Amino acid sequence: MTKKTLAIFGVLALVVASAACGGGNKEVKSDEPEVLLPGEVVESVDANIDSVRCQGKGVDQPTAMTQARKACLEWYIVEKLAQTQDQRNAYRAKQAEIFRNLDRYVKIPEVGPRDQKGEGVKSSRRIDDNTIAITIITKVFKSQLQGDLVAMGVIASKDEMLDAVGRPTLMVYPSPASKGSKYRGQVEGDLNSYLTKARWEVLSTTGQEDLNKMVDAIGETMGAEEDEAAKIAMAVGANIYLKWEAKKEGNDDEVFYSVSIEAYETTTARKLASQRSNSARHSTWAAGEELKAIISAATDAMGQILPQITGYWGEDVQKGNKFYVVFKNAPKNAHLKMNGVLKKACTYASLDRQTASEVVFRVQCKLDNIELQSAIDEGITAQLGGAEYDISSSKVSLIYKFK
Amino acid sequence: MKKVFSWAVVVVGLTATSWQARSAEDKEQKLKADETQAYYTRKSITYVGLQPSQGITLVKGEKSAIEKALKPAVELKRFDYNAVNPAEFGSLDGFVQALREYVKKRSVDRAAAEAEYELRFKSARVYASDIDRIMSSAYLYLIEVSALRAAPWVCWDEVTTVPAKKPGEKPRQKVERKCRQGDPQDWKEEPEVRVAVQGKVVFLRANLLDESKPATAPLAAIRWGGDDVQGYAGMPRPPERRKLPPNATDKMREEAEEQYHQDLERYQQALAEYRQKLPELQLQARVQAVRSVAGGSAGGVEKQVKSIPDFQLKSPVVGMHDDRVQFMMGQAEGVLLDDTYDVTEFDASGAKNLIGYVKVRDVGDAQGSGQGTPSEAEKVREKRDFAGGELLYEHPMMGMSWSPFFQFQWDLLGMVDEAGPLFGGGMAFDFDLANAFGAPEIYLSVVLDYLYAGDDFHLPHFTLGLHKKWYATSLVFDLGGRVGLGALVYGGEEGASPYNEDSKVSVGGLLTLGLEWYIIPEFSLFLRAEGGYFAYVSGRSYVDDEVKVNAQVGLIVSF
Repeated sequence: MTKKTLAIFGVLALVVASAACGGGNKEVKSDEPEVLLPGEVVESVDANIDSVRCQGKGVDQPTAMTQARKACLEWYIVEKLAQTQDQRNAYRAKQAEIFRNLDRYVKIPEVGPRDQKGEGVKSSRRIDDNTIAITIITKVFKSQLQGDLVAMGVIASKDEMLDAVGRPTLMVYPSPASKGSKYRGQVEGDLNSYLTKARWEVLSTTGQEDLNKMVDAIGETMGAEEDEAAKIAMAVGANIYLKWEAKKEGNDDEVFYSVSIEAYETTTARKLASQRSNSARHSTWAAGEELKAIISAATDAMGQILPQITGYWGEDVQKGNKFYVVFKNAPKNAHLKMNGVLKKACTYASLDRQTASEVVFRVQCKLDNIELQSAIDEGITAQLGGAEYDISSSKVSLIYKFK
Repeated sequence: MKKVFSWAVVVVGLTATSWQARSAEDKEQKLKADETQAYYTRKSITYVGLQPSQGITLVKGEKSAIEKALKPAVELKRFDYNAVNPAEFGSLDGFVQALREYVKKRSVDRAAAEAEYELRFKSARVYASDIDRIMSSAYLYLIEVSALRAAPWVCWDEVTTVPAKKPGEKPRQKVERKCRQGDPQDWKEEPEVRVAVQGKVVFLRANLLDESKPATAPLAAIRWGGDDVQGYAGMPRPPERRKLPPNATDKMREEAEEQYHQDLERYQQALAEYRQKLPELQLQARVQAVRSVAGGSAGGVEKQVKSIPDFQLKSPVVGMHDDRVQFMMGQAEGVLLDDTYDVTEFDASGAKNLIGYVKVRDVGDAQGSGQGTPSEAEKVREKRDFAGGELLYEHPMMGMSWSPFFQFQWDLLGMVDEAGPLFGGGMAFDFDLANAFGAPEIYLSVVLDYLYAGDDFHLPHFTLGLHKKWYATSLVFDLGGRVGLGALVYGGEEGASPYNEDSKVSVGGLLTLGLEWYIIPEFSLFLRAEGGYFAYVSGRSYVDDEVKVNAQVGLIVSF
């Protein structure tokens, strides 16, 4: 065999090897995470499922559909579940592994109904000879996803996070404008049910015998002009109260509801989040349609405000629980003495108001209400000479009335 | 200042209201699909009657003949019908007003039903979709007759003798068809009624929501009409005196004369009865002619109804496998086997491009809610690969085609002296029978063809049969068979050929194998090979039976 023959064989072998390894239109696998298009939540179906609208590109519809579903998943994880940059980075590192279970988290949209609403392919356009872009609406199974991400160590468990900082208790109450709404009972019932399903602790504004008395007591303290919802939240012991207001819009034939929900921290009256959502148009001439409209808008708004509450609560409550502490008819210099007691027991204590008849503190302590009450009792015994008093308390407020 | 403030409040209020309204729209828009994924939504339609133009009087039976022919062409499965009798209302506006009230009443009924449902009747929750549909898509149609001419005519054959042109030739008899307008006056006249009808099927959209606006708005008008001739029974034939032999007796003559008078009496009675029945006979013929015109127009009307954008079926491609696409329409919309759909896609700028055609192969029972089995259609033309998500638009066709062709036939048995192919042409009429057989691409074929066999001999054939097509995208394979009659006809000078004593008739059949190239739904090219045998059943057997092996090339024009 001559050198020339060997050289020819060598060149042929190289050509064959290069064709086998790198030739054709093989998909190039990369360790880099895929770059996908953003999405948006269209509506919160229930506590476990969100309806998400996303886009995807591909050579044909099945490919574009998979890309769109991946986009739904990524956007949901990055924007809705991951709380920190570390968690987002952890997700990107495990993107391929998570995408392998795409069907577990993102539904393959069924063929849409003829009224064209709801899940399905919403749009399909050709971008170039080899690419079509589609828009889909599909469901993201958020509970399933969240559970798996926690198990994979991508995000912190919601329970762990909330349990670590103390899960806030919630209360739903209408704004003055919606207090007389004929749908109030249904709306609040549905919202409470929605929150309960999502494992939030919801406090009822009914069924507590001393509630009115407590509200009156708080009212005296806070002043009559204060928000009624805040007083009731304080009385029932809700960490956060959610105030909803529904506005009806439309004409004689069609109606839609615009429902806004505002979340306030009870002890500080600080607004934590607000969300407005509008229902689709419903016929006015059909029974039950108005109720459907208002419920749809209300649950939608609630679904969107909860992540904001979680975010705030997760960060802020690590410093401790917040309380509203009132001393009525307190002995002289009680504010100075109790300030010392509270500052010792809590991470933060602030004298909110001092009058001849009462002293009001807002405090944040790594104690629960019973532990704080015990600490204050000891302080009163030690600092105020064991003065006698009555106490009204809730999870967020302690009202001492000296005799 | 107060005034300015009030205006400011109003402006702010309106702005806020419009913002909220827009927000609601936004959410609805987010949930909805755009035009690239549009579906046909069922429409409700109501027939509001037949309206002859001023000066036109329809005779008894004409109205029902027109309605019977045209209503089925309009009232397609894709529509729902309102249970309202339009005849009870004087005017169209009056009818629409009644429809508005009907809708309101049904709304109230439904509200009551739903209220009940909340308490007890969970299974009785009905009407919602009905009312929504009527409210949003109430269509009306009426049939107009703008011109109708009908007149009695009579025609007869007039025989004249043409003198011989050359010495030795016999004079020829020439038959000429003559006609005149009027009632029959002679038994030899063949009476008929000639009818010409013109009209429109007018579609309107009712405005049920805003009572301050006109009750209806015009949507489309489809012309129908044509001419037709219908014959009816002619006058009774008068009796003739019996011819008697020269040696007939007086008795025989008397009997013959008596018989003649009896026959004459019966004839006069029959003639009187005929004249009495003549208007009724003409009326029946006129109605039959109108029925025939309306019936002949029905196919075209149906095709045009399906072409009206509001009524045109459309659906996105929801699935693809192999050579088929799936879409969510079916029996409820009246989708039929072999229906053709345009396949379109939208580019980034929103422009719609036609990228191919599909034909329905399997009709599903897909429901409006998105459930059910999708229908399937086969790709028959693909200008670019279908990627899924394309929008299908109905391409209405009447299921008929006309195919002129050129053909040549190998003269296997040496039928003519000079060996070589016989040339000719013909035309085929195909009628799609897929839905009668429940299988796609089966056609009834009626073929008239002709071959010139040389030496003034002609070979015409009339055959009838079935054939089936298979598509490999645009390449179509065709297999079929036909039976029929053939003939060998001599068209030359008398006495010029020893074989011209008479023409011969044959009976036979043939098998066909074809290739077709589908270009657009209305136009294809084909190449076909046929082989068959025709046995002569009349005339003298001076030639062998015909063994046909021929090739055809032609085009198919489909309607």
